[in-house]
Amino acid sequence: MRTLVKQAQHRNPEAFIRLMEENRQAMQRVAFGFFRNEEDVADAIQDTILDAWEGIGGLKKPDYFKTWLIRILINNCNKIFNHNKKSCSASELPEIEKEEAGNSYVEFRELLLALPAESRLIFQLYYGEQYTTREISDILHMKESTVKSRLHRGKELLRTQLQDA
Amino acid sequence: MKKMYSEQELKNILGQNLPESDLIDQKIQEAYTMIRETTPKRKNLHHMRITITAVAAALVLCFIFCTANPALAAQIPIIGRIFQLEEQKVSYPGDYSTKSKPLASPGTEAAAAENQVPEESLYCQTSGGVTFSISESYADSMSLYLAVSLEAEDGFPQTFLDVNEGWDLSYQVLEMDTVATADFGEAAPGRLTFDPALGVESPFIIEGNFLDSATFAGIIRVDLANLAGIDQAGNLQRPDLLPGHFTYGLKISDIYVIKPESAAYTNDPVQLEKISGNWDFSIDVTANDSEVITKEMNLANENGIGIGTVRRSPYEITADLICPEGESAGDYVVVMADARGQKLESRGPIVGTYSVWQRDVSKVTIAVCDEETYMNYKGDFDSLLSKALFQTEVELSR
Repeated sequence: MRTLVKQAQHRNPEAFIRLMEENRQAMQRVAFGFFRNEEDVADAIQDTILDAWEGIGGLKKPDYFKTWLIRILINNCNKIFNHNKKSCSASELPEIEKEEAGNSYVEFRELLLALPAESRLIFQLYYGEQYTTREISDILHMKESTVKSRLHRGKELLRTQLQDA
Repeated sequence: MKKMYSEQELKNILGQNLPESDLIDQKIQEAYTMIRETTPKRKNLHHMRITITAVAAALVLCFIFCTANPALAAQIPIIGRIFQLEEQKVSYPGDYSTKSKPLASPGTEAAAAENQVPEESLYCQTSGGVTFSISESYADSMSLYLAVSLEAEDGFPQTFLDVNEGWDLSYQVLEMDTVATADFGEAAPGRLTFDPALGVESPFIIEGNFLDSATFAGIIRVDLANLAGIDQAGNLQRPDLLPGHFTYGLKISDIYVIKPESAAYTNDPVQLEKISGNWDFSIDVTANDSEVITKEMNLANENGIGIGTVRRSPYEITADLICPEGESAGDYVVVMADARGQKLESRGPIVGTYSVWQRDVSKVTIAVCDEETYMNYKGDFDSLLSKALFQTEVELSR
């Protein structure tokens, strides 16, 4: 990946597009940690790709490319979220087409919905993208202790929901 | 939610590949199209702004003719024309051909002046089946540009010729392993060595184009504004001022290309197609600073963040960062905008050096951002400036 980053920094569009394709699933998963609808996820990813293309020349540490990219994505997700002020409750969600999406995808969405909003992104970064709590604290500009406590709280809430059920 | 998930199950669920989405795919493809379409326009902008003289037009026709007729091309030397051919195509464009001087070994000056193909000399060496020539140079105190040509006796490997196939760039890149030196004679700091093995960068790329299967013409850019080398005592030296005249040594051991397909999908070391040799040049450099403007700003905010010296040549601009003592300069990024408020672009892959070629930089806005803000807002320049830790304007017209 490091070589691709360097080539992309040389303004090689195909190398850059390969980098995006390698990280496409990660961007989708993280964006779905913010949004319930595909339109906002699609817009956030598109904005992130264009911002990353503009800014890759300034990336000083190619080894941290993915972290850098996810930071841009989170920033764009925040912008869209604040702009739209969309925060539909579970009752406003479109029905998930189980036959089309597959049970594992349904489980992905249901799991995220079950988490408190403040824990959702942290869960996705920790479990989905395999970042450490230290890395997550850098990405989200929060204390590592806060990251850990929100992870813990999210797990407690999941456990509580199961007991209630 | 049907059950309590284990740690591994959480990883499996949240780390799974999500199903394809036509909408998301469409938006992504739109972005790729914009990038592909924007990149050639960015490069072509330089071509569109070139004033085509009759001589330049004739050169273009000659180049096209020679590309289609390699046998004839071999008879028409490119020596002396490389800056003209490539200077608008590389990621560090300029009009070096109007200011450059031919490089000639003693006794071959007349031939060099007539753009004749030089025999083996200080500036033309054959090794590993490749004749490496450095035919022209231009330097100011910020950068040194060398016009180079490579001619392979048996033609370049197909991997060299194909490496940029399908990439919509106006230039191709050859990579090289080098060790460089700068000898200032009796002037401080003496002789400096630039060796990656010692942790100091040396020139590593040539941007240019294959004129035919056996000939590559390109330009090497050497950063002089941020020169940092190892002196003869083994200490790292960053000279504040370069003497106007020095000898630049460039020793090249390998020339290679990187196979992108092997780099993209494997963690194994990148496979290289390599030409090994020993090309060892010693180049007399006279820095022409008649068009370089230097302004001592030395401004900082209450947190100790600001800029020191601003330097501008006809082609690029830099501003020295001032940051609080004990902090790393790497945590901050200097960004700039031209007189119209438009962001200045990086000079190729070089961070902190911005291109002013064909831009109105009579007045420049210079801002300092922390690295994270820069990465997050680079695509939104107005927002980036609004979040800058420090900002000022400088007038740079003579």
